Amino acid sequence: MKMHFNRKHLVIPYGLFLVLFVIIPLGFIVYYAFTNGSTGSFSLANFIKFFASPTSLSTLLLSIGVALLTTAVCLLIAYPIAYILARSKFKKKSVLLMLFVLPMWINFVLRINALREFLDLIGLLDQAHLFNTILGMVYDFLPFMILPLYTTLIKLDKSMLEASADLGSHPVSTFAKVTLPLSMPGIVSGITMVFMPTMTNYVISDTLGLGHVTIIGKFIEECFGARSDWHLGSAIALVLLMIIFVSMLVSGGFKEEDNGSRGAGLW
Amino acid sequence: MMKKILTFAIAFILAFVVIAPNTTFAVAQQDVLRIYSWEDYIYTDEDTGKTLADEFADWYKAKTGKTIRVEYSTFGTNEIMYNELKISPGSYDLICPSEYMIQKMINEDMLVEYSAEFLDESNPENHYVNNVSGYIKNLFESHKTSNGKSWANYAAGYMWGTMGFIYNPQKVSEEDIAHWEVVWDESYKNQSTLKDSVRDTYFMGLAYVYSDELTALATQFKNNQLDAQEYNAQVNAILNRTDDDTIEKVEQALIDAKKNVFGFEVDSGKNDMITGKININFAWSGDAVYAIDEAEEQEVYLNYSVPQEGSNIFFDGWVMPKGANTTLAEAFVNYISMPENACANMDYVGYTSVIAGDEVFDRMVDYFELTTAQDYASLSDDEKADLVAVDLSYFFDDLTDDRDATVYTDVIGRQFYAQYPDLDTINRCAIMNYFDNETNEKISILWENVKGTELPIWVLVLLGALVVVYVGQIIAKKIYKRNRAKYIANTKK
Repeated sequence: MKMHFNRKHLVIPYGLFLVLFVIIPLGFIVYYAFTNGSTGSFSLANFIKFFASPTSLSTLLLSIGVALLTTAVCLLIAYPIAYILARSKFKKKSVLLMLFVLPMWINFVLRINALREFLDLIGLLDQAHLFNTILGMVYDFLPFMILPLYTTLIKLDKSMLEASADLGSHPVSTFAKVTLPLSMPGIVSGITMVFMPTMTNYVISDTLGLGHVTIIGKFIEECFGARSDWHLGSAIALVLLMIIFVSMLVSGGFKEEDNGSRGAGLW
Repeated sequence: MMKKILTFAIAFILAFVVIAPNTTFAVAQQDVLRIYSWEDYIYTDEDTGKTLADEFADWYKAKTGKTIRVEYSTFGTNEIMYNELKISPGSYDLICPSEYMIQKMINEDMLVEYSAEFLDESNPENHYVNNVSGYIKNLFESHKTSNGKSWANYAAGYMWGTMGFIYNPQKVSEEDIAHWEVVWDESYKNQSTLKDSVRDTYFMGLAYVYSDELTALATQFKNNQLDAQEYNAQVNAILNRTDDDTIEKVEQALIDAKKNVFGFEVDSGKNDMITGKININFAWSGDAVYAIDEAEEQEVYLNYSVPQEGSNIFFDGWVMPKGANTTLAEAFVNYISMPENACANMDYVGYTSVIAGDEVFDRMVDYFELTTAQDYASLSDDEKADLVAVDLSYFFDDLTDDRDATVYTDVIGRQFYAQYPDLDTINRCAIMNYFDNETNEKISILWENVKGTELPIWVLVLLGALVVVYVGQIIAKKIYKRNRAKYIANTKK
């Protein structure tokens, strides 16, 4: 058989990856989530177990709260930096950007443990578990917010801003009515890159919260570890998936009206 | 086109599926021993990086002329090991789980028995049965299984130890550390840790909740109203309670403890002791040996203590899962049980080997600079006054020439004590049985409640605010649209 190379063949490596590491595992998770541990038959017991337990629910709410706050703080810190960086006339911009992204190249366990020692030094470590956890999350995920914001802002068409100024718009309203809406795709992608990992990164909450802060990721880990209840663990993972799916729908709804097709390409 | 891509994909997957099992099959033809054990749990030559498992292949070749290959993989928790074995049974020949997991695996009929040849004490080549301490042997033989056999038929011991507190004697008094209550004691607020592992922390809660009962038993034993065996049996019964009332009490006790402790850990405790973040660390004896050694290098002096009420005794043992290559597995257990290998492992790992005998005894005397009974007799009274006798005859019951297993030392409560607890300590220590599925579920819920974080009010405020903003935005948009429509309609007029 003679093989004709076609551009479409380039999709094969990722296609395989997708099937082997995304679709099949997802199938397993769905299977485990909807089956009963002892009999293997279809059941919603895992979801009922999760939603009927006040502790599980408060763990879920806490994780959402921690993730929201982390995302908000990251956005508040990252936006001005990305904005200034993108607008600055400094020639070695990439060097500056590298400095912000540099922490990502150092093993995060190392960084979090260094932060732990620092917090101990200033006497905060055993005093403010939740604060420390959120601080660690912000520290770890900030680059993930800066990068997408920066790439969106640097591509921003300057003529739009000039047009806005020419039409007599105040810089503040130019920002609010032109820059901010146009950078929406960057904001949304930054949020998705920070929000979800924050809900599940229990290494940070364990190291800096000293085990006093339990987030939903830790709970899932316990289900697959000591508790040996893969069914419950899968059900919780699926609940998280639904939460992120719903929040994407919600934010996607905003975008279509505000920016037309600009942001939709991101999904 | 789509078809072609599909053919490609299927061919690729098929190639995987067909080739992969074939290669493992080919390897299985050559003799291979697949060992699954704990991380850092076997002597490793620091220069060559070779472990005793690698050396075993050479030893076996020299002994039998057969070339074999050893695959050594490691796990982090018993549950990970168990889950993996459940998913792919028959993928290992020899595993080293802890006592409760061995119990569980025996109950679920997952293990193969050791052969009569392996258990034959008359063969001097059978290093395990000939060298294992009588204490461990008794322990294994006295625990019967439901089919009339005992643990000794299914498991060969490897390492064992106790649970207790590593503490800084300059910061914590000896009287306080002798009781579980120290973790609840507010004068040690933020100075102690719990284990981030259900079983160990549940055990601590049990010992605290029933400390009065345990203390009463200890007093009876001291006054000779109870013999050692009866005392130990009763301690075992108390420290294995899992009735609903007990679970409720333990849950409350642990929730209280959580408010008083520095945190939960499984690994960071050792380092936090050395850096002084904490002064009391609930730990396994092997970790205690390691922590005390490490601290010493930085001129911090730590001690180890097992609470007076009683504590947990644990061991890890070699078991052969169904489908194992038993010939090689048994040969390996005998190899690893040779006294010189047991000593090498102990030096490297820090835990205590189950192997006794003269060679291990002499290593202990050398390593901890102890005085033997023989040398003690020739000391002056002044010199004798500094030394404390430690009776280890329960463990070293097989010394030749009727050597006395009592040793004398002036270092109390440190590495030596952690590695070889005295008879008093052994008498008050209990083995913790495995939880059946129903109990496991109850205790998992207890753990969930203990570990759960109280929901701070700001989270609710934040979530509430988010909903308000979202709904507000939708309403604002609707109003805007309506006004705009009106405006357009008006201008058209």
